Amino acid sequence: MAREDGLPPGTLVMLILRVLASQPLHGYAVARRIAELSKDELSVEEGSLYPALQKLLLKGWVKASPAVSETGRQVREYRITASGSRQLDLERQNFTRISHAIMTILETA
Amino acid sequence: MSLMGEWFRRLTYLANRSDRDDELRREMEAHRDMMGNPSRFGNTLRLREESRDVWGWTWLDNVQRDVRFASRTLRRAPGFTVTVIVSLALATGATTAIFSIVNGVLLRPLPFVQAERLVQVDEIHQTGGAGAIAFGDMQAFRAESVSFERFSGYELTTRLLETRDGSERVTAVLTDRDFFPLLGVSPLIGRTYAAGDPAGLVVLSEALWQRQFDRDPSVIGRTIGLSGNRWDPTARRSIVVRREATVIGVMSQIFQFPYGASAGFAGSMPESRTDMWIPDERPDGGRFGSATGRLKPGVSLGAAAAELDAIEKRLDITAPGPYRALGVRIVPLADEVLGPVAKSLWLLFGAVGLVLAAACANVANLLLARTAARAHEVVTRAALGASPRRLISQFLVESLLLGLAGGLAGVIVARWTLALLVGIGAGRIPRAHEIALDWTAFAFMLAVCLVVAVLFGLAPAILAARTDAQEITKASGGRATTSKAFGRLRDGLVIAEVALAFALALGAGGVMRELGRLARTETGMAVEGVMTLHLSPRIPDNDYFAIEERVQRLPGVAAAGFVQLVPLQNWEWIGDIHITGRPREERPRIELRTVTPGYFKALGIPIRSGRNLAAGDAILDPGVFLVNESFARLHFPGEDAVGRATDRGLIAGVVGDVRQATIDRPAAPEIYQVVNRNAGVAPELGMSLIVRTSGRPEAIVPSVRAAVLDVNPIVAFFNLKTMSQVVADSLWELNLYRWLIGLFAALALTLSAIGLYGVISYGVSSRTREFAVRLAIGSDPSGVARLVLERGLRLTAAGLIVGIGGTLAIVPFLRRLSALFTPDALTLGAIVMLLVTISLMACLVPALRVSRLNPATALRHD
Repeated sequence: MAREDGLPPGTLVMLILRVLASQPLHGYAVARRIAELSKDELSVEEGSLYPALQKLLLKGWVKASPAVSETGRQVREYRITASGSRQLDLERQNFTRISHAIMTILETA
Repeated sequence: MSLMGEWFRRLTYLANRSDRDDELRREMEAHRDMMGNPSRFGNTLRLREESRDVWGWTWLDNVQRDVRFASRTLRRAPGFTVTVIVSLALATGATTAIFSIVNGVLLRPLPFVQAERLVQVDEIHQTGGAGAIAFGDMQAFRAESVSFERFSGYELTTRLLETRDGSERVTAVLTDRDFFPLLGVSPLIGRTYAAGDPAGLVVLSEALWQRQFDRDPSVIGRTIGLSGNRWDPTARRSIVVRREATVIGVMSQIFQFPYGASAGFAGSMPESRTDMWIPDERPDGGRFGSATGRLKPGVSLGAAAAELDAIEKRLDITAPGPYRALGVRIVPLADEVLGPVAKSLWLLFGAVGLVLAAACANVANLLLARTAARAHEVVTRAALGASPRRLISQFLVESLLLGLAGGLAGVIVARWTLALLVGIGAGRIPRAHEIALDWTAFAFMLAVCLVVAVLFGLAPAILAARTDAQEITKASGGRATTSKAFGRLRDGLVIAEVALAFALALGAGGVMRELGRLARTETGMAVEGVMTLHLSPRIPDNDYFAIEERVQRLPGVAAAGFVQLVPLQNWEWIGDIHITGRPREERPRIELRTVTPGYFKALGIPIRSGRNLAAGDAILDPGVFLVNESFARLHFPGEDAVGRATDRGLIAGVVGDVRQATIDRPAAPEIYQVVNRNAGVAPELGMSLIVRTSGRPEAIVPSVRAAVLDVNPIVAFFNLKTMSQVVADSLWELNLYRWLIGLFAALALTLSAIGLYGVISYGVSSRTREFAVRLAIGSDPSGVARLVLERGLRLTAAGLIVGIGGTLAIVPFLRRLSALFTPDALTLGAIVMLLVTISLMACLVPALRVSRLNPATALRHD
């Protein structure tokens, strides 16, 4: 499924986890961070971000704690958990393996 | 493990849902604020919903919404809701009550260790019938049988228990030492007895422990005084013996073996109960009243019976005697105990199931009518985007709500019905004390309610979901038209209701016909104005003559006399006789009755020839006795029986036949002996006094009581009943059926009338325009009304055809259960007439409405 935000399918969870692995962030900051790091190449829509964050909470890969945003609003700050880190490693290995395989095909075929 | 964590988080979320939802909302608002261009943020509400969906609780919200919506709609239609809930409450309540009885009595295994291996062992006697087993034979079975693990013989009797304030008559079971080990039961407190225990011990029932010892645990080891009658063979009379016994244990309330102890004492014991168990030795040559055995695992009934038969055959040769048994009969204990009531209970369960089905059909019918009226609502909801699944779930929630409300109200009905039925059946249904509205019954009821709700709710739901929006919006004005399927389904339901009502009415008709027949049966007695009292314990014979004389002289008394047990109490005492001059081996079976001379006049039994008995007959040698007409007809056809000699003495007279065991069983050959002549017929039973009065029978009781106590002050009175009451009580089972099945039938008839009325009046209202046009172009109002009535009758006729066809199809099967199910033309015709009348009444109101229709007003509405 092609996405408007330019994210390859199935990578959103991995990207969120990776961003949170460096530091705890609230929702908007997660989206900003992904955009910044990708030099605005990738943008995460709210419509995908919040359901994805709920899924991470449900799976126990992140924990949320109350925080205050830079604009003084009540938000939730998401923090990666141990099982979240394990999941990140797993998804990362898979992604590397698959993208490597795809690159091989693209370059040698 | 991770799945469990996930569920844990899901549930935590559910518990803090509104907090989490607030957090999400605030978080999104903050997000929007921080965005450079807030208008680019999507639909907040939708985004929040999508985020919430992740937690998987959306369905719950839907259900909640449906429940709120449904309860609101139902509250807005109180008439409909109350009708549905009441009919469901009656049907599920009655079904649960009957189920509780079936479950408590029939379904649960008997409360003994591996009860399926227990069997009742009877010997087939030369005099006919099966029962008591000879002590010697039982010893042989014990020694030689390889099919059985154990045998135990026991016998019912009564004892007088000495209490703080006098004495209480109790039902005692005399057993051998194998009794408790055989059943594998343990006591509530103390211990039971087994092989090697001495005599003089007693195990009490919980009820007696409570009644007389206030549940005092120190009763164990206490010595109690018991007296009982015992036949003294040398004195040839019954003597009162006092013994002491040490209490060693108390059995829990559940343990009531042998069941139906009262059956052995019908007419002398007011209630069914077993109060105590006493280890007892039978003398050689004696018999056990009953015997139970435990088969070894894997041994079949047939093999066990064959083995015992073979042992009997061998005993015939090695130990011949005049009273050798002809063979052995083995029946599973559960069948022996429950057999007499099993059929009846299953039939009742079936009948109540029919009521439940009728109620379901009726509720479905009402719901369909409502669905039709709500077609517009359904279409609107569908147009606004409700999926068929949501529509179906909405209707199902509504019917589940109705089902549960009906079930809740049904619990009350069930409790009430059950209390009533157990009250009636307590002394008559074995294991009645085990019947309870327990969790099995509730689970059953819940299941019934849910199944019922889905059954009656699904059809309207599916039909609603399939309803074609276009078809309905096309329909003119405010009237919704519905598909043909609706109409056909509703007709079908009404036909089913009529058929069910017919089946139940036929059952009720059969019972009533049987009761009518029995009520007209000639009993051979004049029952009006007769009072009966059972006197216990057995007192010296001369006291009976003295009491008879005293009572006869009381003002208002026309006649009085004693008999061992009042007729129609399902009691028989079987013996045999040899008529002098007949072949030696000819020993025909007779029933023995012990009376005082006044008995025949007191019950209005005529003396056909010869003379009555007299007090002095006891000392005559040879003795004399009376025979009944059946005896005279059978053994002296066309001759005079009076003066003939037998091994029991001379026949002094012939008396009229009396229905003895049950009202339905013709008299068997009987002999009557004067009380002081008879050799020990169950001496512990005492005697029943019959008093014929010139006024109200009950009014005579105080003066009779005073006269009796004046002769012998130790006598206690039981079972004070008028003879009419005795006759009515002997029909209790049929009477119970008449009430229950009659009630069920009335319920089903009412339901079918409601259903028919609903369908017809709905049909009328949806055809108002057509009828108006017919009237406008000159149709006769009565002709239009006839159209309506005809439709009602067509439905009724279809229901009757289905009912008759269905009933006839199962009659051969039902007839195996009971002769009541022999349909006769008269009952059939009466019930058809009844149903047609009720149907016509149900259709009359809509028909009248049509005939009074004003075409102008009716047509202007469109």
